[in-house]
Amino acid sequence: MSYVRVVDEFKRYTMGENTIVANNGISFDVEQGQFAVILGPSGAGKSTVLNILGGMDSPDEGHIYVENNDISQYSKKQLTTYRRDDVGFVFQFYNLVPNLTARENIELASQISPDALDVDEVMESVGLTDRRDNFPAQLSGGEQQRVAIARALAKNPKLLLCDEPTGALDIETGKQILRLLQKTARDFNTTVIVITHNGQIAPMADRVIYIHDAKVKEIVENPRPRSVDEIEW
Amino acid sequence: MQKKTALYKMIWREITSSKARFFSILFLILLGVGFFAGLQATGPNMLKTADDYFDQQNLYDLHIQSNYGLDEEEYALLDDKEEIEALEGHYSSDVLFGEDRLVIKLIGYDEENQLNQFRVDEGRLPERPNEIALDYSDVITSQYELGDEVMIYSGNKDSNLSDTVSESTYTVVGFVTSPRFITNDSRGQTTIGRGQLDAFGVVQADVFTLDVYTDLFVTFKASANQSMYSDTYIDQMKDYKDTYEPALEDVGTGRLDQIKADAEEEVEEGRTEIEEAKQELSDAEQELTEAKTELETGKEELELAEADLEEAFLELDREEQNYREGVDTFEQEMIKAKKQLRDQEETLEESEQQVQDGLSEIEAGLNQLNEPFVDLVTQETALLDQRDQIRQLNQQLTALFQTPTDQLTDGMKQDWIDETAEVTFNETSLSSLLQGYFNGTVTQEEIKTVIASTDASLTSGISELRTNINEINTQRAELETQQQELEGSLQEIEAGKEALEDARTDLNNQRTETEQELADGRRQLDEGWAEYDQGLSELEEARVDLAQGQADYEEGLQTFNEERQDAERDIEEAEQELDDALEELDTLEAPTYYLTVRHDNGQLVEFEDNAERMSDLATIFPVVFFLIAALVTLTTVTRMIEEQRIEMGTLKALGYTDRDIQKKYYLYALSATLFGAILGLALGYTLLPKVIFNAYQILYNLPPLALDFYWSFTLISLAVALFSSLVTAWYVLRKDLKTTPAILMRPKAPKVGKRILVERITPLWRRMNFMQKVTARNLFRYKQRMLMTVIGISGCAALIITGFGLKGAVEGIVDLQFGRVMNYEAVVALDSAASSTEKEVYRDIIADNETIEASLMVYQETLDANKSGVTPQDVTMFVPENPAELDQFVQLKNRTSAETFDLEKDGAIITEKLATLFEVEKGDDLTLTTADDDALTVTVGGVVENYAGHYLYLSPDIYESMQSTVLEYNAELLKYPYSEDFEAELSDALSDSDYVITTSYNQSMLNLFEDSMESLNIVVVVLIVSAAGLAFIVLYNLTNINVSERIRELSTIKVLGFYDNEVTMYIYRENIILTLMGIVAGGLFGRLLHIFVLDTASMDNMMFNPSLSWTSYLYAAILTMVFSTMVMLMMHRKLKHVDMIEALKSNE
Ligand SMILES: Nc1ncnc2c1ncn2[C@@H]1O[C@H](COP(=O)(O)OP(=O)(O)OP(=O)(O)O)[C@@H](O)[C@H]1O
Ligand SMILES: [Mg+2]
Repeated sequence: MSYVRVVDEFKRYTMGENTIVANNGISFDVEQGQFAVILGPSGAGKSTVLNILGGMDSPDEGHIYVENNDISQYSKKQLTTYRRDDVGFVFQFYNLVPNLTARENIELASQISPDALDVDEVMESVGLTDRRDNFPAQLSGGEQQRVAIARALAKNPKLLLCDEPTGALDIETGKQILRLLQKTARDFNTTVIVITHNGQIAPMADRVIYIHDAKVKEIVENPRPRSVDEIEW
Repeated sequence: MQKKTALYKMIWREITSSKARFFSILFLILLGVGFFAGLQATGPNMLKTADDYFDQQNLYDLHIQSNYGLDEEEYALLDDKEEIEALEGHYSSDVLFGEDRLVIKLIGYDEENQLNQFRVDEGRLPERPNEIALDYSDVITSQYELGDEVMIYSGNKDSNLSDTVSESTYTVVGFVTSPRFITNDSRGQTTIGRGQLDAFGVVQADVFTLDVYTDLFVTFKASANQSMYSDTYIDQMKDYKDTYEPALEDVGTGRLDQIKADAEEEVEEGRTEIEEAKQELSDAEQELTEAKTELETGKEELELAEADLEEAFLELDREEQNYREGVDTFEQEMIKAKKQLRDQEETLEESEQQVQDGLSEIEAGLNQLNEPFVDLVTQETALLDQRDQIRQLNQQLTALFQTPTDQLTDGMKQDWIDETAEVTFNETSLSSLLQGYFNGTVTQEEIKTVIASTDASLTSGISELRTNINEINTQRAELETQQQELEGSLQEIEAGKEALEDARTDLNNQRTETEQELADGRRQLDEGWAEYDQGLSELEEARVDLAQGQADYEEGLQTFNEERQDAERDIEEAEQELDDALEELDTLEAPTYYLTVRHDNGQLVEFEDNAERMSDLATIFPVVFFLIAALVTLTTVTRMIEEQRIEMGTLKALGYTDRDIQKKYYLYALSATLFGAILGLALGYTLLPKVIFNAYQILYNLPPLALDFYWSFTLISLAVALFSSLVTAWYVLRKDLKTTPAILMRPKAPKVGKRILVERITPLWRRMNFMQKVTARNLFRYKQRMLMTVIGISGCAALIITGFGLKGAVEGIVDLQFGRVMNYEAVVALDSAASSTEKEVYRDIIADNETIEASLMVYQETLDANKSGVTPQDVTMFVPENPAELDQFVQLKNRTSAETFDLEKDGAIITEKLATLFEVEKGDDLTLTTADDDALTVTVGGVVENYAGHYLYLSPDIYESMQSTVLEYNAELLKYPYSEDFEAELSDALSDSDYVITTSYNQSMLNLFEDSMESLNIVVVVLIVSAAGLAFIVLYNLTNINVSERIRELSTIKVLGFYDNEVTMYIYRENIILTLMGIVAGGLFGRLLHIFVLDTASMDNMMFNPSLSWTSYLYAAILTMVFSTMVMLMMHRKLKHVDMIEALKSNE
């Protein structure tokens, strides 16, 4: 059984009279410890499916199994617990609490998580030990995103979900971030799912899921994923 | 045009999409404006109400009194004045009233009167001499009803009620209010009773028998269009007063001469009266002598009549004797005659009896003869019949015998046998003979012989019988001859009887006649006796009359003797009095005039003070209120504009002018402010003054509040309201619009995190847990809003504290005054003119009562304290008989220094508020005015704690050294453990004593007092409710801003997996701390506000308890926490529904 299974998932938004179908029967699997990438054009429905997978929203139809639990049936409270214990989320715009230092932002997550990792170790693993007492405003975009990733990792999540983590970064910094994510999947055996526009990232992934027009167009298995440095773009 | 509609649409959408914000601005402005305008308007409204009421009732502008009353002269003087609108002379007099001997001012009322018109609250005004309308105050209405009969009594032992009024009994026909007395509890001073008027009563002016008016009332033309509280009015009235006083005094001198002349005339009249009295006395003596002579004559006449009657008795007695004798003789004769008649009758009856007996014998003889005679005749007849039968049978047998036997048929034979069966001859019957014949045994001849012998024996029998019959007949004839003889003698006897009957009849007739004669004699005799009895009883009556006459005479004589002494003494006294009066006339001074204007009436001034105090309160409270409202409005508007930077930038980038962009925000702020302000004004101007005035109506007898609109307050509040919203909008917009659209369109950088001060204190920082650190950091991140929240909450908490504090202060007065300061329970006002026995009786009542712990005689008087710039104050003076004991009854301790005083040593002690008002301290002099208008200056020996009223405690030594009069104690303080039953009992016992005028109980004063304190409580409740409302809106608004500003942060932690309550607490932890800080700051601020408010709200004759109870803080803290919790619950609901995806989507 795959670690993550999305089965025939639908999500619709009703805007007055017309209905927008954001996810139209999406199905895919991701195995434990895999580094998966979701690719697709803007408005395809990537964020929608990732949000549902992250327990921030519920599908209208279909099932989502994470570790054999069907989270599509979860209540709000159960979803919160699921987010708290099992999921790490990284946003395009970092969403750090501006009033907390880098370390404190990470602590914010580790404080509530049952099997949290040591904050300082996590910080070291993202290479931010020097900047631990800096406020977000004092950090660069890449550093902020690393803090955000560290915050997600500190919870020791089973599932790390990233919605365009490199979208606001330059190429080099983006690479750095991706390396970090790939490493995380390898080292911690964490299942990582990343949304991106950038098709060049695809070779890095163990599995690439193409979404187009609210449907899964193709799923490509990559038996030998390359490292970031091997990729040219 | 098109652009405009788009703009309005935008504003409308803005309003509807942010209802909470729009309405919170609206409500803040409403509360601020309403509270400000309402409280500001209350004072002026109250004054206007009073002024309108006085105009309507035509209250005097000037009131003139004099110790000689006011006569035509004074009236004429004023009547001439051009400036006077109306002038009226009235009558009044202070009297004791009803069973409780209340002191009331009896006021004369005439339908024609225009001034000081009464307001009829119930029933009507008096229309007949013995009707009265009473004061519509609690003292009266709690005891009397329409239709009650009431009595009034002279307030002065030396004067008669009839000198003043013609009636002493009245029927209550109505309850009225006078514009002269507007408070519910005070009616002013008087010289009778306790020195304090309890109420007033209105009777017809005609009831007064006074020669002169007691009061002149004046209204001036100039006052018509002025408020009585205006300075021009006050000055003008003072001018009039100052001009009239000397003019009146001139008239007074003339009146004195007149009074002297009148008095001399009266003295002359008095002398004549005395002469008359003397004459009367001698007349009475004369009358008595005449009466005595008459009595003597009567006695003689009586004796004569007695003798006559004696004679008459003897005569009657004699005649009675005669009569009795006559009756006896008559009776005896009658008996004799009757006996004779009876004897004769007896003889006659005897002979009759004999005759009758003879006759009976003869009869019997005759009857004896009858029987044998009849027998004989019967026998003869029977023998004759037998003989005939036998002879006939003989013939038939002869015929038979002629026929041979054998020729005869058996039938014939049988017939013969049957027919002769009964014919018998000496033992043999014919039939058997015939049988024998037929049978042939008997011959014919035998038969014929038998028959023939029978015939012969029969014939001889018959003749024998005839001889006997003849003999009997002879005997009978003899007897009958004898019978006839006897009957003849019987007739003779009958004749004798008849003669006897006649004799009897004669006797009876004779008797009737005699009896008639005797009856006549009796009647005459009876009449004679009756006459005699009559005479006897008449005599008795005459005797009684005479005795009565004698007694009357003696009594008259005694009375006369007694009265003569009195009368002679009276006459002597009167003569003395007349002499004294003449002497006094020489020392008589010209009348003194007392002129008072409305502002000399303490009640009216007190009301003005109250109204002005309202205005003072109206300044400080609404300012705090308004300040908070304005600050929060400012924060709200700032936030709103900041939220819409992007929209503004976009519009600007699209080429809209700054003006167009601003318009939306101005209109938004303007509409919220204007609506709020208009609603606030409408509510404030109507609701608040009414609520507050209603409270004051417990104290004052005034008509319902006259509401008014005040441009000044309207404009001020509008200005402040618009300033706080529009100017903020302008300021924030100006700053934003100066920047380029590009910068505007980028979100304003979230507030940068910074190290805070606390972090530098490493040990503390280290000890804090993570969430505490976060909270601490956040608290200091939004300093402006933190400050705003703390200020807002502290302001509200302060208002609430002040509200409760004011309530506590007011309630504290009662406890402190009656619990700590005054330790006695009752003051008994005593009549010093009472007789010594009456005093003795009273002393016994008090001494015998075991419940009374202590008592102290005092001299009590109400003094006036006057000083320019201070409202005149009533001061109660106590001069205790035993100054060393006073501290058992009243606490003599300074409130701040806790120094205790001793009246013996310190001489004159005054109460704290009096000292404060008149700015005197220990060692200073204080001058007061007595009821007789004398000045009394004391050196203050001590200032003591006291909360209600003003008191001066003076030692008798000092008092006597200053006053020429001898000190007469007129009251007694009683101390006992309070119980309702005991007080009722005591009041019962005291009401019987003539020494006691009235008793006032502290408990009932306490009750009255608590009632009047109610009024302030309502103001306090208004305050607390408004402050609480404000606290709620402030908290809601600021929290709402905080949440919307940090919605991204909140969404982030939601995504991180914070549970709903953790999310709420994440932000609310800050709010709790801010609330706590606000409460603490509010405590400090509230304490200051409380002191300030107490200072302005205090009344002249009352000192508030300035300490603030911890409960006030507690209530304020609890209320604020409650609101904070309510807001938290509302926020919790809101946060639960935040869409985190939406919030995190863009880089806003
Ligand atoms: N809350 C929402 N209400 C209405 N429509 C929505 C909502 N969220 C997403 N959509 C619509 O659903 C569709 C899928 O959106 P989604 O954000 O998943 O796209 P995406 O693949 O992530 O695009 P991008 O690469 O630009 O981020 C879009 O057409 C979007 O307009
Ligand atoms: Mg997306």
